[in-house]
Amino acid sequence: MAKPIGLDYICHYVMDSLPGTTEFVTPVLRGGRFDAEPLVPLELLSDFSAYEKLLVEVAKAIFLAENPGRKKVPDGFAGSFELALTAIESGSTRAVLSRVLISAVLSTTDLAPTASVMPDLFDAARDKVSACITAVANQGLVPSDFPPSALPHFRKFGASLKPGESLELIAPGQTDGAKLTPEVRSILMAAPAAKAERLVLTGTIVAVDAKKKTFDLESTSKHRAIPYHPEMHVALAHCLSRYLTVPEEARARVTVSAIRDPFGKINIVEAIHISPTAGAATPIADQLLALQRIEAGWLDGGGRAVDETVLANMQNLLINLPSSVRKPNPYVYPMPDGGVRCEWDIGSWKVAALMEPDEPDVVALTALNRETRDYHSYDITSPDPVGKLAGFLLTIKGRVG
Amino acid sequence: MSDSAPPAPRGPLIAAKDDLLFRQVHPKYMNEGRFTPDVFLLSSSDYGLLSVAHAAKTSAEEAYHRHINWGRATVAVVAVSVSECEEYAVPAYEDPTDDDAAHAVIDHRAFLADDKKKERRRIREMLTLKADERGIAYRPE
Repeated sequence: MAKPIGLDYICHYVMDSLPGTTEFVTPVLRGGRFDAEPLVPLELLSDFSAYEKLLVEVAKAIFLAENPGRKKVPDGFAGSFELALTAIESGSTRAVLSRVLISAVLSTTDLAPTASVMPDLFDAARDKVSACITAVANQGLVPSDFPPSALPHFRKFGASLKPGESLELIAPGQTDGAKLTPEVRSILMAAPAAKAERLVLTGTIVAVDAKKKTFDLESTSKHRAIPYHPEMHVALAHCLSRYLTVPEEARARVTVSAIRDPFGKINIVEAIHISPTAGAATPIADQLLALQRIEAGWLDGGGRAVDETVLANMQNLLINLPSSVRKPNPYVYPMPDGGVRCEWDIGSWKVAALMEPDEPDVVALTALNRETRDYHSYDITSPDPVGKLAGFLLTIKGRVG
Repeated sequence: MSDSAPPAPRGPLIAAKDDLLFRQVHPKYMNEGRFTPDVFLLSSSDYGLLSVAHAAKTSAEEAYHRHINWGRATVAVVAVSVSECEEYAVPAYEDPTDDDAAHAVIDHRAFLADDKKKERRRIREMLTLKADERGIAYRPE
Protein backbone atom coordinates (compact mmCIF):
# COMPACT_ATOMS: atom_id res chain seq x y z
CA MET A 1 0.00 0.00 0.00
CA ALA A 2 1.30 3.43 -0.83
CA LYS A 3 2.19 5.43 2.24
CA PRO A 4 0.31 8.72 2.56
CA ILE A 5 2.64 11.65 2.87
CA GLY A 6 2.36 13.99 5.82
CA LEU A 7 2.66 17.68 5.07
CA ASP A 8 6.00 17.79 6.83
CA TYR A 9 7.43 15.64 4.06
CA ILE A 10 5.22 16.58 1.16
CA CYS A 11 7.89 18.59 -0.60
CA HIS A 12 9.26 15.27 -1.77
CA TYR A 13 6.10 13.59 -2.93
CA VAL A 14 2.79 14.40 -4.48
CA MET A 15 0.49 11.48 -4.65
CA ASP A 16 -2.70 10.49 -6.31
CA SER A 17 -5.72 9.39 -4.34
CA LEU A 18 -4.75 6.89 -1.72
CA PRO A 19 -6.38 4.23 0.31
CA GLY A 20 -6.47 5.16 4.00
CA THR A 21 -7.32 8.77 3.31
CA THR A 22 -10.50 10.75 2.99
CA GLU A 23 -10.89 14.08 1.27
CA PHE A 24 -10.90 16.87 3.86
CA VAL A 25 -10.55 20.21 2.08
CA THR A 26 -9.48 21.48 -1.31
CA PRO A 27 -7.56 24.73 -1.36
CA VAL A 28 -8.14 26.37 -4.74
CA LEU A 29 -5.36 28.73 -5.73
CA ARG A 30 -6.15 31.62 -8.04
CA GLY A 31 -4.49 34.69 -9.48
CA GLY A 32 -0.86 35.43 -10.31
CA ARG A 33 1.20 32.27 -10.63
CA PHE A 34 -1.83 30.00 -10.59
CA ASP A 35 -3.75 31.38 -13.56
CA ALA A 36 -1.52 29.89 -16.24
CA GLU A 37 -1.40 26.25 -15.25
CA PRO A 38 -1.97 24.08 -12.18
CA LEU A 39 1.09 24.13 -10.02
CA VAL A 40 1.93 24.17 -6.37
CA PRO A 41 5.13 26.14 -5.66
CA LEU A 42 7.15 24.35 -3.01
CA GLU A 43 6.98 27.31 -0.68
CA LEU A 44 3.19 26.91 -0.53
CA LEU A 45 3.57 23.49 1.04
CA SER A 46 4.67 25.16 4.27
CA ASP A 47 1.38 27.08 4.19
CA PHE A 48 -0.53 23.78 4.10
CA SER A 49 1.56 22.51 6.99
CA ALA A 50 0.71 25.67 8.93
CA TYR A 51 -2.97 25.11 8.08
CA GLU A 52 -2.75 21.65 9.59
CA LYS A 53 -1.28 23.10 12.83
CA LEU A 54 -3.92 25.82 12.83
CA LEU A 55 -6.67 23.20 12.65
CA VAL A 56 -5.16 21.24 15.54
CA GLU A 57 -5.02 24.40 17.68
CA VAL A 58 -8.64 25.27 16.91
CA ALA A 59 -9.75 21.68 17.54
CA LYS A 60 -8.01 21.80 20.93
CA ALA A 61 -9.87 24.99 21.81
CA ILE A 62 -13.18 23.42 20.77
CA PHE A 63 -12.46 20.33 22.86
CA LEU A 64 -11.59 22.40 25.97
CA ALA A 65 -14.65 24.60 25.48
CA GLU A 66 -16.85 21.52 25.29
CA ASN A 67 -15.15 19.95 28.32
CA PRO A 68 -14.86 22.76 30.87
CA GLY A 69 -13.55 20.41 33.55
CA ARG A 70 -10.53 19.51 31.41
CA LYS A 71 -7.32 21.50 31.44
CA LYS A 72 -5.65 19.54 28.65
CA VAL A 73 -6.65 17.56 25.59
CA PRO A 74 -6.19 13.77 25.74
CA ASP A 75 -2.74 12.36 25.01
CA GLY A 76 -2.31 11.74 21.31
CA PHE A 77 -4.92 14.33 20.38
CA ALA A 78 -2.72 16.22 17.92
CA GLY A 79 -1.29 13.00 16.56
CA SER A 80 -4.75 11.74 15.69
CA PHE A 81 -5.00 14.28 12.90
CA GLU A 82 -2.84 14.41 9.81
CA LEU A 83 -3.32 15.90 6.38
CA ALA A 84 -1.69 14.83 3.16
CA LEU A 85 -1.64 16.39 -0.28
CA THR A 86 -3.20 13.65 -2.36
CA ALA A 87 -3.95 15.32 -5.68
CA ILE A 88 -3.41 18.42 -7.75
CA GLU A 89 -6.28 19.02 -10.10
CA SER A 90 -6.70 21.42 -12.96
CA GLY A 91 -9.18 24.28 -13.07
CA SER A 92 -7.02 26.93 -11.46
CA THR A 93 -4.87 24.98 -9.06
CA ARG A 94 -6.83 22.64 -6.85
CA ALA A 95 -4.68 21.01 -4.20
CA VAL A 96 -6.67 18.24 -2.59
CA LEU A 97 -5.80 17.82 1.08
CA SER A 98 -6.98 14.55 2.51
CA ARG A 99 -7.18 13.42 6.05
CA VAL A 100 -4.99 10.44 6.75
CA LEU A 101 -6.94 7.84 8.66
CA ILE A 102 -4.94 7.24 11.78
CA SER A 103 -4.80 3.47 11.31
CA ALA A 104 -3.02 4.06 8.01
CA VAL A 105 -0.38 6.13 9.76
CA LEU A 106 0.01 3.67 12.58
CA SER A 107 0.34 0.72 10.26
CA THR A 108 3.43 2.24 8.78
CA THR A 109 5.14 2.92 12.08
CA ASP A 110 5.99 1.13 15.25
CA LEU A 111 3.84 3.47 17.30
CA ALA A 112 1.20 2.00 19.54
CA PRO A 113 -2.32 3.32 18.97
CA THR A 114 -2.94 6.47 20.98
CA ALA A 115 -6.20 8.35 21.03
CA SER A 116 -9.11 7.62 18.81
CA VAL A 117 -9.66 9.79 15.78
CA MET A 118 -12.03 12.66 16.50
CA PRO A 119 -13.28 13.59 13.08
CA ASP A 120 -16.08 15.81 14.32
CA LEU A 121 -13.74 18.13 16.19
CA PHE A 122 -11.36 18.55 13.29
CA ASP A 123 -14.22 19.00 10.84
CA ALA A 124 -15.60 21.63 13.22
CA ALA A 125 -12.15 23.23 13.36
CA ARG A 126 -12.03 23.39 9.55
CA ASP A 127 -15.45 25.05 9.49
CA LYS A 128 -14.49 27.49 12.26
CA VAL A 129 -11.31 28.55 10.46
CA SER A 130 -13.26 29.05 7.23
CA ALA A 131 -15.95 31.04 9.08
CA CYS A 132 -13.24 33.22 10.62
CA ILE A 133 -11.63 33.94 7.24
CA THR A 134 -15.03 34.76 5.72
CA ALA A 135 -15.93 37.07 8.61
CA VAL A 136 -12.66 38.94 8.26
CA ALA A 137 -13.10 39.19 4.50
CA ASN A 138 -16.68 40.49 4.81
CA GLN A 139 -16.61 42.54 8.00
CA GLY A 140 -12.95 43.05 8.78
CA LEU A 141 -13.39 41.53 12.25
CA VAL A 142 -12.22 38.31 13.83
CA PRO A 143 -15.28 36.50 15.30
CA SER A 144 -15.34 36.72 19.09
CA ASP A 145 -15.61 32.92 19.40
CA PHE A 146 -12.46 32.26 17.40
CA PRO A 147 -9.74 30.93 19.74
CA PRO A 148 -7.08 33.64 20.13
CA SER A 149 -4.40 31.02 20.70
CA ALA A 150 -4.82 29.96 17.07
CA LEU A 151 -4.31 33.41 15.54
CA PRO A 152 -0.48 33.24 15.47
CA HIS A 153 -0.73 30.36 12.96
CA PHE A 154 -1.88 32.87 10.34
CA ARG A 155 1.67 34.20 10.37
CA LYS A 156 2.60 31.14 8.31
CA PHE A 157 -0.67 30.04 6.74
CA GLY A 158 -1.04 32.12 3.59
CA ALA A 159 2.41 33.68 3.95
CA SER A 160 3.40 32.46 0.47
CA LEU A 161 0.52 34.21 -1.27
CA LYS A 162 1.58 37.15 -3.36
CA PRO A 163 -0.51 40.25 -4.10
CA GLY A 164 -3.39 39.32 -6.38
CA GLU A 165 -3.35 35.67 -5.37
CA SER A 166 -5.91 33.88 -3.23
CA LEU A 167 -6.45 30.54 -1.55
CA GLU A 168 -10.05 29.36 -1.29
CA LEU A 169 -10.80 26.55 1.17
CA ILE A 170 -13.53 24.36 -0.31
CA ALA A 171 -14.95 21.63 1.89
CA PRO A 172 -16.11 18.33 0.33
CA GLY A 173 -19.46 18.68 -1.39
CA GLN A 174 -19.17 22.47 -1.56
CA THR A 175 -18.60 24.62 -4.63
CA ASP A 176 -17.10 27.62 -2.90
CA GLY A 177 -15.51 28.47 0.42
CA ALA A 178 -13.54 30.93 2.50
CA LYS A 179 -11.07 32.96 0.48
CA LEU A 180 -7.76 33.83 2.09
CA THR A 181 -5.92 36.73 0.49
CA PRO A 182 -2.86 38.71 1.60
CA GLU A 183 -5.26 41.50 2.67
CA VAL A 184 -7.41 39.19 4.82
CA ARG A 185 -4.32 37.63 6.32
CA SER A 186 -2.91 41.02 7.31
CA ILE A 187 -6.09 41.71 9.32
CA LEU A 188 -5.84 38.32 10.99
CA MET A 189 -2.22 38.92 11.92
CA ALA A 190 -3.04 42.33 13.36
CA ALA A 191 -5.57 40.80 15.75
CA PRO A 192 -4.01 40.65 19.18
CA ALA A 193 -3.30 37.21 20.49
CA ALA A 194 -4.32 35.98 23.89
CA LYS A 195 -2.07 37.14 26.67
CA ALA A 196 -1.00 35.24 29.73
CA GLU A 197 -1.50 37.21 32.91
CA ARG A 198 -1.24 36.78 36.61
CA LEU A 199 -4.23 38.05 38.58
CA VAL A 200 -4.91 38.43 42.27
CA LEU A 201 -8.50 37.67 43.22
CA THR A 202 -10.03 38.13 46.62
CA GLY A 203 -12.99 36.29 47.98
CA THR A 204 -14.06 33.47 50.25
CA ILE A 205 -13.20 29.86 49.53
CA VAL A 206 -16.49 28.12 50.21
CA ALA A 207 -15.93 24.64 48.74
CA VAL A 208 -13.19 22.31 47.54
CA ASP A 209 -13.67 19.46 45.08
CA ALA A 210 -10.62 17.30 45.77
CA LYS A 211 -11.60 14.89 43.01
CA LYS A 212 -11.78 17.50 40.28
CA LYS A 213 -8.99 19.55 41.90
CA THR A 214 -11.00 22.74 41.91
CA PHE A 215 -12.13 25.09 44.66
CA ASP A 216 -14.97 27.58 44.66
CA LEU A 217 -14.05 31.21 45.27
CA GLU A 218 -17.00 33.43 46.07
CA SER A 219 -16.44 37.13 45.53
CA THR A 220 -19.06 39.81 45.27
CA SER A 221 -21.52 38.53 42.70
CA LYS A 222 -19.16 36.02 41.12
CA HIS A 223 -18.63 32.39 41.92
CA ARG A 224 -15.60 30.86 40.27
CA ALA A 225 -14.38 27.25 40.17
CA ILE A 226 -10.60 27.49 40.11
CA PRO A 227 -8.28 24.56 39.32
CA TYR A 228 -5.44 23.99 41.80
CA HIS A 229 -2.42 21.78 42.47
CA PRO A 230 -2.59 19.14 45.22
CA GLU A 231 0.16 20.89 47.19
CA MET A 232 -2.40 23.59 48.00
CA HIS A 233 -4.51 21.16 50.04
CA VAL A 234 -3.15 22.46 53.36
CA ALA A 235 -3.87 26.10 52.51
CA LEU A 236 -7.32 25.16 51.24
CA ALA A 237 -8.10 23.15 54.36
CA HIS A 238 -7.12 26.17 56.45
CA CYS A 239 -9.39 28.46 54.42
CA LEU A 240 -12.32 26.04 54.63
CA SER A 241 -11.84 25.65 58.37
CA ARG A 242 -12.04 29.42 58.83
CA TYR A 243 -15.09 29.60 56.60
CA LEU A 244 -16.86 27.03 58.79
CA THR A 245 -15.84 28.56 62.12
CA VAL A 246 -15.36 32.32 61.62
CA PRO A 247 -16.83 33.19 58.21
CA GLU A 248 -16.35 36.92 58.80
CA GLU A 249 -12.58 36.32 58.78
CA ALA A 250 -12.46 33.75 56.00
CA ARG A 251 -11.49 35.89 53.04
CA ALA A 252 -8.49 34.88 50.98
CA ARG A 253 -6.30 36.35 48.30
CA VAL A 254 -5.80 33.93 45.43
CA THR A 255 -3.13 34.49 42.81
CA VAL A 256 -4.05 32.79 39.55
CA SER A 257 -2.52 32.40 36.12
CA ALA A 258 -4.99 33.43 33.46
CA ILE A 259 -5.35 34.05 29.77
CA ARG A 260 -6.96 37.30 28.69
CA ASP A 261 -8.28 37.00 25.15
CA PRO A 262 -8.23 39.93 22.72
CA PHE A 263 -11.82 40.68 23.64
CA GLY A 264 -10.96 41.16 27.31
CA LYS A 265 -12.44 37.90 28.53
CA ILE A 266 -10.38 36.30 31.28
CA ASN A 267 -10.00 32.53 31.42
CA ILE A 268 -8.44 31.32 34.64
CA VAL A 269 -5.90 28.55 34.11
CA GLU A 270 -5.06 27.62 37.69
CA ALA A 271 -4.31 28.93 41.16
CA ILE A 272 -0.68 29.71 41.91
CA HIS A 273 -0.89 30.89 45.49
CA ILE A 274 -3.52 31.10 48.22
CA SER A 275 -3.17 33.49 51.10
CA PRO A 276 -5.81 33.76 53.83
CA THR A 277 -6.58 37.36 54.71
CA ALA A 278 -7.74 37.32 58.29
CA GLY A 279 -6.93 40.97 58.47
CA ALA A 280 -3.61 42.74 58.12
CA ALA A 281 -0.57 40.80 59.26
CA THR A 282 1.17 43.99 60.41
CA PRO A 283 0.11 45.10 63.91
CA ILE A 284 -1.83 48.35 64.14
CA ALA A 285 0.92 50.10 66.10
CA ASP A 286 3.45 49.34 63.37
CA GLN A 287 1.11 50.49 60.61
CA LEU A 288 0.48 53.79 62.41
CA LEU A 289 4.21 54.25 63.00
CA ALA A 290 4.79 53.81 59.27
CA LEU A 291 2.22 56.56 58.59
CA GLN A 292 4.01 58.87 61.00
CA ARG A 293 7.18 58.52 58.92
CA ILE A 294 5.58 59.52 55.62
CA GLU A 295 6.95 62.81 54.36
CA ALA A 296 5.14 65.55 52.46
CA GLY A 297 5.22 65.02 48.70
CA TRP A 298 4.77 61.25 48.97
CA LEU A 299 2.09 61.20 46.24
CA ASP A 300 4.22 61.96 43.17
CA GLY A 301 5.13 65.36 44.58
CA GLY A 302 1.72 65.99 46.17
CA GLY A 303 0.34 64.42 49.32
CA ARG A 304 0.72 65.97 52.75
CA ALA A 305 2.45 64.34 55.69
CA VAL A 306 -0.08 62.66 57.96
CA ASP A 307 -1.57 65.23 60.32
CA GLU A 308 -0.34 64.76 63.89
CA THR A 309 -3.74 65.36 65.47
CA VAL A 310 -5.44 62.95 63.10
CA LEU A 311 -2.81 60.31 63.75
CA ALA A 312 -3.13 60.70 67.53
CA ASN A 313 -6.93 60.56 67.36
CA MET A 314 -6.95 57.50 65.11
CA GLN A 315 -4.40 55.78 67.33
CA ASN A 316 -6.51 56.52 70.38
CA LEU A 317 -9.61 55.22 68.64
CA LEU A 318 -8.09 51.94 67.48
CA ILE A 319 -6.07 51.12 70.57
CA ASN A 320 -9.05 51.67 72.85
CA LEU A 321 -11.29 49.38 70.84
CA PRO A 322 -11.67 46.01 72.59
CA SER A 323 -9.36 43.65 70.69
CA SER A 324 -12.25 41.23 70.03
CA VAL A 325 -14.12 44.07 68.32
CA ARG A 326 -11.09 45.39 66.46
CA LYS A 327 -10.33 41.99 64.90
CA PRO A 328 -9.77 41.17 62.12
CA ASN A 329 -6.78 43.48 62.19
CA PRO A 330 -7.54 46.52 60.00
CA TYR A 331 -5.48 47.90 57.12
CA VAL A 332 -4.34 51.51 57.50
CA TYR A 333 -3.60 53.93 54.66
CA PRO A 334 -2.54 57.60 54.39
CA MET A 335 -4.79 60.08 52.60
CA PRO A 336 -3.47 62.87 50.35
CA ASP A 337 -4.79 65.63 52.60
CA GLY A 338 -2.97 64.29 55.67
CA GLY A 339 -5.87 62.12 56.79
CA VAL A 340 -5.87 58.47 57.77
CA ARG A 341 -8.06 55.70 56.45
CA CYS A 342 -8.60 52.42 58.26
CA GLU A 343 -10.31 49.44 56.60
CA TRP A 344 -11.70 46.13 57.79
CA ASP A 345 -12.81 43.09 55.80
CA ILE A 346 -15.62 41.54 57.82
CA GLY A 347 -17.25 38.70 55.95
CA SER A 348 -18.74 40.18 52.80
CA TRP A 349 -18.60 43.68 54.32
CA LYS A 350 -15.92 46.20 53.68
CA VAL A 351 -15.87 48.74 56.50
CA ALA A 352 -13.84 51.95 56.55
CA ALA A 353 -13.16 54.64 59.16
CA LEU A 354 -11.74 57.92 57.84
CA MET A 355 -10.36 60.88 59.70
CA GLU A 356 -9.25 64.07 57.96
CA PRO A 357 -7.37 67.17 59.16
CA ASP A 358 -10.22 69.63 58.52
CA GLU A 359 -12.40 67.72 61.01
CA PRO A 360 -10.02 65.64 63.16
CA ASP A 361 -12.74 64.87 65.70
CA VAL A 362 -15.10 63.40 63.13
CA VAL A 363 -14.87 59.77 62.05
CA ALA A 364 -16.53 59.08 58.73
CA LEU A 365 -17.72 55.49 58.61
CA THR A 366 -18.70 53.55 55.52
CA ALA A 367 -19.82 49.96 55.12
CA LEU A 368 -20.23 48.30 51.75
CA ASN A 369 -21.51 44.79 51.24
CA ARG A 370 -19.64 43.14 48.40
CA GLU A 371 -22.50 40.80 47.56
CA THR A 372 -25.61 42.92 47.93
CA ARG A 373 -24.00 46.34 47.23
CA ASP A 374 -25.74 47.54 50.38
CA TYR A 375 -23.97 50.78 51.37
CA HIS A 376 -24.07 52.79 54.59
CA SER A 377 -22.32 56.00 55.52
CA TYR A 378 -22.27 57.69 58.96
CA ASP A 379 -20.26 60.35 60.72
CA ILE A 380 -19.49 59.84 64.39
CA THR A 381 -18.25 62.49 66.76
CA SER A 382 -17.57 62.97 70.46
CA PRO A 383 -18.64 61.97 72.96
CA ASP A 384 -17.49 58.36 73.03
CA PRO A 385 -16.34 57.81 69.44
CA VAL A 386 -14.73 54.55 70.56
CA GLY A 387 -18.05 53.21 71.80
CA LYS A 388 -19.82 54.34 68.64
CA LEU A 389 -17.22 52.73 66.38
CA ALA A 390 -17.36 49.54 68.44
CA GLY A 391 -21.14 49.54 68.11
CA PHE A 392 -20.87 49.98 64.34
CA LEU A 393 -18.37 47.13 63.97
CA LEU A 394 -20.42 44.85 66.22
CA THR A 395 -23.53 45.58 64.19
CA ILE A 396 -21.72 44.55 61.01
CA LYS A 397 -20.34 41.43 62.68
CA GLY A 398 -23.82 40.60 63.88
CA ARG A 399 -25.08 40.74 60.30
CA VAL A 400 -22.30 38.42 59.18
CA GLY A 401 -22.81 35.97 62.04
CA MET B 1 -3.95 65.75 34.53
CA SER B 2 -1.51 68.59 34.92
CA ASP B 3 -2.34 71.98 36.46
CA SER B 4 -2.76 73.45 32.98
CA ALA B 5 -5.07 70.71 31.77
CA PRO B 6 -8.36 71.93 30.35
CA PRO B 7 -11.40 71.33 32.51
CA ALA B 8 -13.04 69.25 29.79
CA PRO B 9 -12.16 65.97 28.10
CA ARG B 10 -10.26 66.29 24.83
CA GLY B 11 -12.10 63.44 23.16
CA PRO B 12 -15.53 61.86 22.75
CA LEU B 13 -17.46 59.71 25.16
CA ILE B 14 -16.14 56.15 25.01
CA ALA B 15 -18.93 54.23 23.33
CA ALA B 16 -17.67 50.67 23.85
CA LYS B 17 -19.23 49.83 27.20
CA ASP B 18 -17.08 46.76 27.79
CA ASP B 19 -13.80 48.61 27.32
CA LEU B 20 -11.58 48.60 30.37
CA LEU B 21 -9.94 51.64 31.92
CA PHE B 22 -6.64 51.18 33.75
CA ARG B 23 -5.77 53.07 36.91
CA GLN B 24 -2.37 53.02 38.60
CA VAL B 25 -2.05 52.00 42.24
CA HIS B 26 0.34 54.17 44.24
CA PRO B 27 2.53 52.12 46.63
CA LYS B 28 1.01 53.87 49.66
CA TYR B 29 -2.45 52.77 48.52
CA MET B 30 -1.48 49.11 48.60
CA ASN B 31 -1.21 47.46 52.00
CA GLU B 32 -0.26 43.78 52.04
CA GLY B 33 -1.64 43.35 48.53
CA ARG B 34 -4.93 45.04 49.36
CA PHE B 35 -5.67 48.36 47.67
CA THR B 36 -7.75 51.21 49.07
CA PRO B 37 -10.56 53.14 47.33
CA ASP B 38 -8.32 56.21 47.38
CA VAL B 39 -6.83 54.71 44.21
CA PHE B 40 -9.84 56.42 42.61
CA LEU B 41 -9.53 59.63 44.63
CA LEU B 42 -9.54 62.88 42.68
CA SER B 43 -6.90 65.50 43.35
CA SER B 44 -7.66 69.22 43.11
CA SER B 45 -5.63 69.43 39.89
CA ASP B 46 -7.84 66.83 38.21
CA TYR B 47 -10.72 69.29 37.64
CA GLY B 48 -13.02 66.34 38.32
CA LEU B 49 -11.45 64.30 35.53
CA LEU B 50 -9.77 61.20 36.89
CA SER B 51 -6.92 59.99 34.67
CA VAL B 52 -7.02 56.44 33.35
CA ALA B 53 -5.60 54.55 30.38
CA HIS B 54 -7.99 53.23 27.74
CA ALA B 55 -7.41 49.48 27.33
CA ALA B 56 -8.50 49.64 23.69
CA LYS B 57 -5.32 51.60 23.03
CA THR B 58 -2.81 50.18 25.47
CA SER B 59 -2.20 47.22 27.73
CA ALA B 60 -2.07 47.29 31.51
CA GLU B 61 1.62 46.49 31.35
CA GLU B 62 2.35 49.30 28.88
CA ALA B 63 0.34 51.75 30.98
CA TYR B 64 2.33 50.71 34.05
CA HIS B 65 5.69 51.24 32.36
CA ARG B 66 4.60 54.56 30.88
CA HIS B 67 3.67 55.75 34.36
CA ILE B 68 7.04 54.62 35.72
CA ASN B 69 8.88 56.30 32.85
CA TRP B 70 7.19 59.56 33.77
CA GLY B 71 8.80 59.26 37.19
CA ARG B 72 5.58 58.44 39.00
CA ALA B 73 5.13 55.70 41.56
CA THR B 74 2.95 52.67 41.00
CA VAL B 75 2.96 49.06 42.15
CA ALA B 76 0.05 47.66 40.19
CA VAL B 77 -2.69 48.41 37.68
CA VAL B 78 -6.38 47.91 38.35
CA ALA B 79 -9.26 48.23 35.94
CA VAL B 80 -12.90 49.22 35.75
CA SER B 81 -15.11 49.09 32.69
CA VAL B 82 -16.82 51.97 30.93
CA SER B 83 -20.24 50.54 31.81
CA GLU B 84 -19.29 50.28 35.48
CA CYS B 85 -18.36 53.96 35.50
CA GLU B 86 -21.64 54.85 33.84
CA GLU B 87 -23.51 52.78 36.42
CA TYR B 88 -22.30 55.30 39.01
CA ALA B 89 -22.90 58.33 36.79
CA VAL B 90 -19.25 59.02 36.05
CA PRO B 91 -18.92 58.56 32.26
CA ALA B 92 -15.60 57.87 30.58
CA TYR B 93 -14.14 60.01 27.80
CA GLU B 94 -11.17 59.66 25.53
CA ASP B 95 -8.63 62.32 26.43
CA PRO B 96 -5.51 61.79 24.30
CA THR B 97 -2.47 63.90 25.08
CA ASP B 98 0.67 64.56 23.07
CA ASP B 99 2.60 61.92 24.94
CA ASP B 100 -0.19 59.46 25.67
CA ALA B 101 -2.71 58.57 22.99
CA ALA B 102 -4.40 56.09 25.36
CA HIS B 103 -5.11 58.71 28.03
CA ALA B 104 -8.75 58.82 29.07
CA VAL B 105 -10.71 60.28 31.97
CA ILE B 106 -13.56 59.28 34.25
CA ASP B 107 -15.73 62.35 34.53
CA HIS B 108 -16.63 63.27 38.13
CA ARG B 109 -17.49 66.90 37.34
CA ALA B 110 -21.09 66.41 38.40
CA PHE B 111 -19.87 65.57 41.89
CA LEU B 112 -17.38 68.33 42.58
CA ALA B 113 -19.50 70.46 44.91
CA ASP B 114 -18.64 70.40 48.62
CA ASP B 115 -21.98 68.82 49.48
CA LYS B 116 -21.22 65.89 47.16
CA LYS B 117 -18.32 64.63 49.24
CA LYS B 118 -20.17 61.56 50.45
CA GLU B 119 -21.31 60.73 46.93
CA ARG B 120 -17.73 60.96 45.68
CA ARG B 121 -16.72 58.62 48.48
CA ARG B 122 -19.44 56.15 47.53
CA ILE B 123 -18.38 56.20 43.88
CA ARG B 124 -14.79 55.45 44.91
CA GLU B 125 -15.93 52.55 47.05
CA MET B 126 -18.06 51.11 44.26
CA LEU B 127 -15.40 51.43 41.57
CA THR B 128 -12.88 49.84 43.92
CA LEU B 129 -15.23 46.95 44.50
CA LYS B 130 -15.51 46.39 40.76
CA ALA B 131 -11.75 46.62 40.29
CA ASP B 132 -11.13 44.31 43.23
CA GLU B 133 -13.57 41.78 41.85
CA ARG B 134 -11.82 41.87 38.49
CA GLY B 135 -8.40 41.33 40.07
CA ILE B 136 -5.13 43.14 39.59
CA ALA B 137 -4.75 43.80 35.88
CA TYR B 138 -0.96 44.01 36.02
CA ARG B 139 1.65 43.74 38.68
CA PRO B 140 5.36 43.42 37.92
CA GLU B 141 6.98 40.13 38.92
